[in-house]
Amino acid sequence: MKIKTKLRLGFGFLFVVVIFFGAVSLFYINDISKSSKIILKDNYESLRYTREIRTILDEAELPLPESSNRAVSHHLSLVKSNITETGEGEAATALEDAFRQLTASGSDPLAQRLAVKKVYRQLRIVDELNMNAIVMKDDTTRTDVERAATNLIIIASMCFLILLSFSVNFPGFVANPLREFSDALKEISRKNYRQHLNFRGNDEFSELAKEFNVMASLLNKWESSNLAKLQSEKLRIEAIIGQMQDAIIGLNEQKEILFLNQVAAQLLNMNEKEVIGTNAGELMKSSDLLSRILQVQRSDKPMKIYADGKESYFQLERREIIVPVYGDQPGEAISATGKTAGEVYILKNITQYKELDEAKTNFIATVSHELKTPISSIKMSLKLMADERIGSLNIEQQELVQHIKEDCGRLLKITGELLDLAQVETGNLQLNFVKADPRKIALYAMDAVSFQAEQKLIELELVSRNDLPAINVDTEKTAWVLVNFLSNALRYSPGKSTVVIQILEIGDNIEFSVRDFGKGIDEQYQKRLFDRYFQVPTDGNNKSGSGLGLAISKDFIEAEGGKIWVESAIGEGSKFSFSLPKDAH
Amino acid sequence: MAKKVVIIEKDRDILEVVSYILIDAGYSVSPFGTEQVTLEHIIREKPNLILLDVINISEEGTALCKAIKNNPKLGNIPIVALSTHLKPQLIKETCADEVMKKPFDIDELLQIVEDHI
Repeated sequence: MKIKTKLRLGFGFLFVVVIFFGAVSLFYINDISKSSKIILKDNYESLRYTREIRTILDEAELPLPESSNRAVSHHLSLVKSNITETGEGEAATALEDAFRQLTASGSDPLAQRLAVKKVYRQLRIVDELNMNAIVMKDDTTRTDVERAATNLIIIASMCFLILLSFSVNFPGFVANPLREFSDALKEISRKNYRQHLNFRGNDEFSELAKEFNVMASLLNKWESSNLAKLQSEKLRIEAIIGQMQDAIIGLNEQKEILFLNQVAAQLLNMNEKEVIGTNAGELMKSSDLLSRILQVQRSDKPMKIYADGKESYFQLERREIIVPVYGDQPGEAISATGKTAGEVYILKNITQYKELDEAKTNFIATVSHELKTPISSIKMSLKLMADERIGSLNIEQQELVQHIKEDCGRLLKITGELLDLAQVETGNLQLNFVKADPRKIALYAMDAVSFQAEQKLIELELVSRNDLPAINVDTEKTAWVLVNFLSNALRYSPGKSTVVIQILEIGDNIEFSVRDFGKGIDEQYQKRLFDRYFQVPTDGNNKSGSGLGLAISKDFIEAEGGKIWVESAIGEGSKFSFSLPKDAH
Repeated sequence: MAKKVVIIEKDRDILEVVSYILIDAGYSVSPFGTEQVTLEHIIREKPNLILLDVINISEEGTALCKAIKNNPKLGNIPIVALSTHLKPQLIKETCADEVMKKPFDIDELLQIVEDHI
């Protein structure tokens, strides 16, 4: 049933009730007035006639004059025509008889008095009858009125009750479904998509309810699919964390353990399931290792942990979890801010790397020893041979010794380069930063190659200001690079030329450059000059390097936070440069 | 009386050359190969200085060096390590009083020996 029909029926019902009550009231009022007014009036008429007759008889002298006779006869006929009560007819006839006797009695006073008495008696009877009737009818009317009043009260009460219940119930008819809807919508806004509305019938509300149910079930489906997706994602991530080879411990912002994977549990000798949710501060009291992990401030050094019956090395990594928070105020631009949601501690098992690293270090040391020891022996022996006290050498022998010396020096240099490179490649390059004057580094390098320069009659020229700012570098490595540049320059410079060492302050950097006036380097090779083992192919005459010097130079300079490059043109010579940042303080 | 230097070196050539240089410089020298030397040998020699070949800074490589330093009779004798190791500083931190990087110069050797004896 449509709401419209319902409303119509409701108002129709009200209308019917009002009509019914009115009709009933009218009926009763009608009834009462009819029984009382009309019938009472007849009895009063009769009483009036008898009173008239009595008045005439009282006032007139006996024997009655003709006019009085006529008046009495007239009233008598009126009395006779207004018979309403049982017995009244006989009384009227008797009255008529008595009056006839009176008129017929003549002038005999005794007979007249008797006749008058008779008339009075009959009049009294008529009066009594009517009086009784009046009393009786009055009683009846009163009871009728009472009854009608009672009935009307009952009906009125009934109507009142009906209307009351109607007025109470009818709005609910319309409002209840609306309330159910509003409740249901509130639930929806609380993400409770499981509820359904059940309205029977085919009114607008049922249709609405059907639509609502469809919407709710769609929302539910969407939510559960989202939930399922989230759940599977969560499981996946948990599985990933669980299967990681590294120990992972997650703490929330209250320092409670959020998660702890199997490796971490084993390492800490804790039960994974028991500790989740407990406060880390409490656990730290019972676990030294955990407190060590959580209290580490800087984690450069690997941690040595004794677990599973052997010593293992772990690199601790500590990360703060920043969760993006989106401002959801309406009308406000979406702003993402980070909110810290705890910390994650990752313990990487680096035992294997550590072992490998140690093995490699040992290997390099051994190789270094095996290569350098004989060279040292050769060098010292050569020195001793050169000593006059042992015995003098002839010119030819001296030359031979000199050759051996040079080759020995080259061997030592290449060995050193190879070992340096091995160190750089394995990440073992250790820099020893100190504050240094750039000029001093340059002078040291120049000193190292001065003998070589003298031999070729090459002039070394240092161009720099005296008051250059200090740089924070590993002086040994930096000088090594400069020596490498210089010896290359000397090697490729023609005799009696100049090699210019320049130090410039450029912005925040100090730039070192070594310029020679040799034949220059073809552009196509310039880029590859700093590659490992690369040598300029046409350079057959001077093939003496390992092809590692510039590669190592590049590693050294970049490890110190600098840059290295070459500028060269065929016929004009080459300029090898590197720049290093100035000391910040 | 000449100061006594104990040389412990694996390489026979170095051992011979260094011995020669030091004898020439007026020291009394007791050369030992790394394999055969024992603490008792060193104690018996009562040296003023020990030149010790250290190949590696591993436990094994520095065992002898540490043993000498930890021995009450030898603990105060200066040790000069001869090493080809790329980080000689580490040996100095471990046990030696001074480290000489191989290859070294004869003058350098004599200077250091003189400084520490």
